[in-house]
Amino acid sequence: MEAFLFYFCGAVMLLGAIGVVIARSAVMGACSLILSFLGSAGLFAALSAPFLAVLQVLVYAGAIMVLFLFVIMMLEGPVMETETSRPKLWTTLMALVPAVIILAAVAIWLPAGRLPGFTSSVPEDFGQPMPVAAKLLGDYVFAFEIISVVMLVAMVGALALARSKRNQPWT
Amino acid sequence: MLAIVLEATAKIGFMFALIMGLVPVLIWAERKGSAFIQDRTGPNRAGVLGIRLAGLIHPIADVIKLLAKEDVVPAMRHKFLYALAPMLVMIVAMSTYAVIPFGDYIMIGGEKIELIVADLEVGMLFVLAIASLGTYGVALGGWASNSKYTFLGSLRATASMISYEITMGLAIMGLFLIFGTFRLTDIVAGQGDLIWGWLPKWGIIVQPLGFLLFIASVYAETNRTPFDMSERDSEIVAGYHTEYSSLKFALFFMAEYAHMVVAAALIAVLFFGGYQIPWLPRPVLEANAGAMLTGGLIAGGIVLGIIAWAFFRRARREKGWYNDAREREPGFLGSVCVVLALVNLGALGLQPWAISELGASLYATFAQIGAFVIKVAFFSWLFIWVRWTVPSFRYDQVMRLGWQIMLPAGLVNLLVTALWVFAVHQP
Amino acid sequence: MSYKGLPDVVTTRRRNLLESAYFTEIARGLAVTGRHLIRNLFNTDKMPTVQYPDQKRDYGPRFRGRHRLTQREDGSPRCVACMMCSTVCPADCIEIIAGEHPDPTIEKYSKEFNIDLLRCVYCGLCEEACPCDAIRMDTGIYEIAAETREAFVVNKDFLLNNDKDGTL
Repeated sequence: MEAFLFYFCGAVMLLGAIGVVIARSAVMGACSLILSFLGSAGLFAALSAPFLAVLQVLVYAGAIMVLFLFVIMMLEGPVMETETSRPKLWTTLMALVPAVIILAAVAIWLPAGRLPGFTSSVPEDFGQPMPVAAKLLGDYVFAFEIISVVMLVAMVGALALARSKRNQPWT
Repeated sequence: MLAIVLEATAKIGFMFALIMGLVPVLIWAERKGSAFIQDRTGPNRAGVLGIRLAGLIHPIADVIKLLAKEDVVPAMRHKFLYALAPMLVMIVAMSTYAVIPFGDYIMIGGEKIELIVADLEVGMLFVLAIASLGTYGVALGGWASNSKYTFLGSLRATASMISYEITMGLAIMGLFLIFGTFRLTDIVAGQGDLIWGWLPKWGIIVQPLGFLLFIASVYAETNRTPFDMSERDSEIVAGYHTEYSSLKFALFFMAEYAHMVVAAALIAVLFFGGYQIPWLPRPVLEANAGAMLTGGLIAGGIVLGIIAWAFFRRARREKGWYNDAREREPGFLGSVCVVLALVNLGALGLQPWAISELGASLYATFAQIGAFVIKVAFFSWLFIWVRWTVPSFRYDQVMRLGWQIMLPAGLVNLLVTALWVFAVHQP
Repeated sequence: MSYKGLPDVVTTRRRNLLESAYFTEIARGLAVTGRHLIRNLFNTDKMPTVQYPDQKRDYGPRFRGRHRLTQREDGSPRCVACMMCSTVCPADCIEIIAGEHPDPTIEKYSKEFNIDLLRCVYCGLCEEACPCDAIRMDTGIYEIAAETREAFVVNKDFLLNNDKDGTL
């Protein structure tokens, strides 16, 4: 079951990633990226790390990609069939050769028999809310607080920029 | 294994039936309620053999119409995304229910079964994550239709959903701090306590500001009035689903109401104690099951009798109004009420006051499920009630309210709650 | 230009804090709509809606409905084919073909009398113009429907026995 979930989610991720590369329309590319994120969330869920899985969906698929899509949709405008052109031989080679090299490297360096068997396992409480919170608010509390202050500053700045002028009628 | 599958299927089936049963009822309530609010009579024509049930047959007629209609599609659409969008909306609307507890537990064959489909550690975060995915159906549907109106509608919907998601998350953070968990079952269980011995520890009591922020942002998330700028008829036709027809439109339409039900369920679970009946915790319910059941049966019989009397009075008054099958309706409904009342009173013959322990447990479970359903129905009705009461906001007003008022208010609420929880827990 | 009883300039009062918070105002609005709802729920008969095909609104005696041709005491049509009505008709919807009447005191009668109900604007000028009180619009029928355009052209026989409602 675990292996099946791993391969399934991995396949979804890869499918999404390939989609990002080959999609003609940027909107379809963004959708493929969302699919890829959902796959990685599925991987986290399969590792019984619900907190990480949910955050992956909530932050990446749900918030960041919505903004991406928002901007792409605004800029790309209406749906149009883009004209098709055959990829040239050398661009195909440029894409294929590094991919083959990386795949070969992974295949060589990966210890034999490691992938299908899952010999090492993650800690019991991996990705649960409590340990994540303990790390964030315990060990790394200073960095965490600095980041939150930066974000607060960004938010206040955005508010100040967006604030309408005073004494405007009908607001 | 089989038991687990059966159990999960039964729970999913219950939730599915609850939503899919409430959706047509809500569509009916929207029409009939708006009509009564505006001094109109509302739908009252469609009927089967004269039985019209005050217009409840109309949703069925609607469904048949939408199923039989031609699917008109724009020629220059994005084919894949255009077809995907309504499915996405419906999937998102239906999958949130998995983590909402609709009852405490039920004892079957000596086994304790929790009444929730998936009791996740991160339940409420799951709801937020799924809700954030809901934006895609709307955004992609509007874009893929390749029309100005749908595009504007989807942009507006996306903007309001992004803005109010943050407030929605912040509004319930205080609740998480107080109950110390994301798990919805624990939150509901925590709301069964009493403060100072008499005040139920409901979310609305401990987090009043959080409740107001949450209910407002939930209205924005579901795109209902006063935040209905994504489908405002006078400006952008029907918004993101302008170009959809037939069953695809039906999916959008049903998803809107399914979203309403899930929002109502969330309000009930987070702020109104979920399945908890105030001042009647489960042990009390079980101990007094016999007396309450007997009283309930007698009261039900009397109420049904009164309703039957009203129907018969109506039947006499309406004689000769229509001269067709419709005239039989009040009499028929009155007879049904009489039969139900007799069944109620006849059930007294089974000696409900001497109910067994298992029966008492079952009674407590069903009473709590009933309380949950009543709360959900009320908050669903509140959506409709508000829609026909308040005018909607303008686009810039929605944005201003979300970013400049509700977000800071949510932050302040979180800060105050955090300080308070800190003071209570660490003297 | 100012209207009596209305101020020239609309001044808006600043909302106080409770009103700006919006929720109390929503609650007040809900109370208003809820009151209407409850009142209508228990008094469905007193609703102002007219249940149209079942109940019909009574119109005044001067209401101009579908036309009819009146008859003399002996049952013959009063129309003498003087063409007054078809002349005055602004929509030109009346077509009359005259014939010689066997009774020499009457001179003429209408062999055919057709009205195109689709063209008629129900102005009532034909009844005003008629010297013999032969055409009237007092049937009170206002539901006029048919499947084809041709069916809307009604003839003399129809107009003489014009008491049916609804479709032609």
